[in-house]
Amino acid sequence: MVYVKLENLEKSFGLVVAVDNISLTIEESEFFTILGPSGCGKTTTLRMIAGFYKPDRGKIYFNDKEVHRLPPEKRNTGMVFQNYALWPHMTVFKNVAFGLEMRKLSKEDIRNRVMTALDLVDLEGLGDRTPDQLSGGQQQRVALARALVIEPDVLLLDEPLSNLDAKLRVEMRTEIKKLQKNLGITTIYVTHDQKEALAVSDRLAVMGKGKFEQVGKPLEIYTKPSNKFVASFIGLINLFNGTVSKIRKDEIWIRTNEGLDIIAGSLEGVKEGMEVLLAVRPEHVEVHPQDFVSSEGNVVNGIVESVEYLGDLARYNVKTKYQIINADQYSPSVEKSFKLGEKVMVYFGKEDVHLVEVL
Amino acid sequence: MLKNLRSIDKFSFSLFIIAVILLSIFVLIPVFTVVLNAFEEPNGEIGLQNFANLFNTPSYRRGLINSIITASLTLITTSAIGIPVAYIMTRYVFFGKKVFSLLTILPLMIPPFVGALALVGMLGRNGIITNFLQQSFLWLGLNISLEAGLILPDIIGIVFVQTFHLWPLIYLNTSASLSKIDPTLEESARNLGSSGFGLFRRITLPLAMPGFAAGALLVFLWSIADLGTPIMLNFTEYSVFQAYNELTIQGGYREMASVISIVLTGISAFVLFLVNRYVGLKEYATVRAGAAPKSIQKKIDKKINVIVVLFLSILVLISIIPHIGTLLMAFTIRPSYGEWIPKGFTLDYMLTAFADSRSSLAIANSMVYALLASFAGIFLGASIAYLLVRKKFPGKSILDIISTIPFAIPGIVIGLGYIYMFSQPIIGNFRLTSIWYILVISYSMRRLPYTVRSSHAVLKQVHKSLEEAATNLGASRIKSFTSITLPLITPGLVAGAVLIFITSFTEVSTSLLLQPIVGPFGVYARPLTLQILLQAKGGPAATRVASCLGFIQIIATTIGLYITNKLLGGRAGLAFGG
Repeated sequence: MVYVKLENLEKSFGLVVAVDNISLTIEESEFFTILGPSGCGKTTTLRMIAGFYKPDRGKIYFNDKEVHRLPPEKRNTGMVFQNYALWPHMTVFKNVAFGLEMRKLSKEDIRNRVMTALDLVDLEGLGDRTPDQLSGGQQQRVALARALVIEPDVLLLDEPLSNLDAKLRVEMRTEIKKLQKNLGITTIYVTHDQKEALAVSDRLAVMGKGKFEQVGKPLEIYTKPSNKFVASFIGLINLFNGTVSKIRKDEIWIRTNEGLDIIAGSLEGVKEGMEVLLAVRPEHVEVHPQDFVSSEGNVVNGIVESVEYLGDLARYNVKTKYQIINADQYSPSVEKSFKLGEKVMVYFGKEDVHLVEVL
Repeated sequence: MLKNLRSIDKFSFSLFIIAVILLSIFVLIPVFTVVLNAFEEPNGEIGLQNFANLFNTPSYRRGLINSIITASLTLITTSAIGIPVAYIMTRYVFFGKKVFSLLTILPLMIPPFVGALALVGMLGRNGIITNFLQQSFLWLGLNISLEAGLILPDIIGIVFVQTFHLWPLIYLNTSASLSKIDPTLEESARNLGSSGFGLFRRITLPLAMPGFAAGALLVFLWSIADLGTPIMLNFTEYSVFQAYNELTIQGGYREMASVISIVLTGISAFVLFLVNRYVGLKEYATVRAGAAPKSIQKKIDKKINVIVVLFLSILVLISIIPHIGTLLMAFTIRPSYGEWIPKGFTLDYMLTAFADSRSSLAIANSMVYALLASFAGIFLGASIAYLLVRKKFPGKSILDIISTIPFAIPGIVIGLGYIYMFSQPIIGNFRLTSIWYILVISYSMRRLPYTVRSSHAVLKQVHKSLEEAATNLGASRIKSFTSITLPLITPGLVAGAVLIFITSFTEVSTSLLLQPIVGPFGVYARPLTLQILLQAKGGPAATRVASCLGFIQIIATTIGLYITNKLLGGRAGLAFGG
């Protein structure tokens, strides 16, 4: 098994800095995701690991071995391209066999291993087809089989699911994850889809403008985003900009710029007078009838500005005097739900107020 | 700059240097020599005297005006035929469509020079159709004399003959654009309330404009540089022909040939500039998510079907006059003067052609020239395209521009330039213009812009990630090129080479102008086109032999087109034209 170490990697294209001094260690057999908006440098990072770009500065290690000077063909990585890059003049079998032929395996071996690989991705019997005779999902599997069959040290996936429809995307990501766990291959996955990233990764890095904004486990990143970029990139979130007005034993009072007083539980390292950015996830915000009262936590009155039914939940946009607050109501029912324009109370507990950063 | 150049790999760097050197010697410097010559006055000084002579001499002036009028008229007639046909063929489903889509390719099968020869034989003085009509008029008691023939050596005659082989260029380019238009673009316009002619004018036409403009440009440049048609019709008040005469006649006014060529080049360049500036030749890239919807093809009702079929049938019938003419002239016994019914089938003319060593050698010569030109041309063209598509380096745009130059300059300029440059002995007594290599060089250079463009398109189709996937799996650069890129580009490159072959085999301007003495099979170097011209001017019987030689050009062209069509999947016509 192989671990991957990036050390002060830098890459510019002309005046544009694509990757700006990043360092990272990806553990053996880890499923690691680089998540970010388009143009953030995630694909550039992946292509440097594969060897298609030479870093301007910095080093890349596979275990103890420096690889950043090696040409791509000497790195033993298996890459799945965004457009799959299946060779149109070769059959599925030939496509998958190619890497093994380069490794000069015997015909017998190649045959066996290709068959196993095709089995692995549920494509047994389709070896004689050409890529244009396959559906998008099948092409994806061929690309995956072609990368896996060589038993790569590192599996590199460049937005492999972006060309599939929504349902297939969910199926495939589960399958990829399962395959990866069974084979134990160190995997680096690049995507702009935050749900995908949270679902499959052991750990992930959120990338913005060439830098890693936060690296951590999915739950950590979701619940404790370390800055505004990460907070607003991952999932829907209510952000509050404000100043700490008073600190009590187990309560911290913050007055937002709009004038709303928010009570939080404990916020680490916060002092009176500090300017802070707070976050509350919509799933922690409750919507109640107008007559709702609570002795603790935060209650704000407002008007339902929009309602979105998403099946398992209803998402409310509540307009308050201060700002719009998003609230998710789980298992909504006809009796329990609220109407457009209805006057309501929103409530969130003080433990659900998180500190994103001190400004 | 040189330091930056070295940032690309050594192999690409050497390719770049070789390409630049070849293009300089065989395109840039020759053209420059012609320019210099145009400014050279009788006393050896540099000045504008020759240009003044052009504009002050009535015949030269008329020649120039005639050339411009002809090119413009031909553009109008070819568009009037080409655009409707393109629209009908891409947008409607009708009875007989398949047959017509094959038949509309017919004009491409006949080399223009041969077509002109056949049209003169059919419609000229004592031509087969001329005589038929004359006799019909007599029988009807009409007193109309067709003594001089139906096509005369004048502007109308030239426009008529040129229209025959140039309208498919408008048709093919326009329909390529039309069929590429994403139907949803028109559907969304419909959705917003546009329809009928308004929809055509606001959405369809602008989207098809790049294709039409490309075709129109080809037609105009072709027409204004056309040497074959005026020679066949013997229309002397035509600029290119005048330049040709000054050059080939003993003691001709050589500088005038240069001046005329330069002025024609200027006009071509100006038109190219205008089209690029105001229309643009780039296809609109369509961003498309999901599968490409099928293009809209409407069924038309029976009445209109009849009209459409009638229109196309008349078009096809007129279009095959040159083909029938060639066959009649090559394989039937010549009737006596004023008659039109052939006296029977014969192979005598063909046998005469092969028995005559000058004619049979001309066939063999042209085979050799065209074959070598296609090898050299595709090698150079693909190398340049490779650099343009795959490499980033300073000087790239220069390479792009100089490899497109032959597109805009009339063939006669290349011919003139070679004569000025290479008729001086290089080493000892060796003159490049005396030996047949010069024709191979001129053929491959004249065709180069097309070759670069088609190779460019072929290379573009091979997405970079296909090669990257191979190197990622352990293939070396060379291995990934030979096992991935090469198999994918070979059909396109072979098709490009075949097109060089047929255009070289039938090339007119430099074939008539450069007359090397030493050929590949000895002292006889005449290419087939020149031999056809000499036979065509050698009296009625020799004209029949010329038609036989023309028939051989038709066969070669047809086979070539068939091969390219197979390789490119029915898009061969697009690469055509020049």
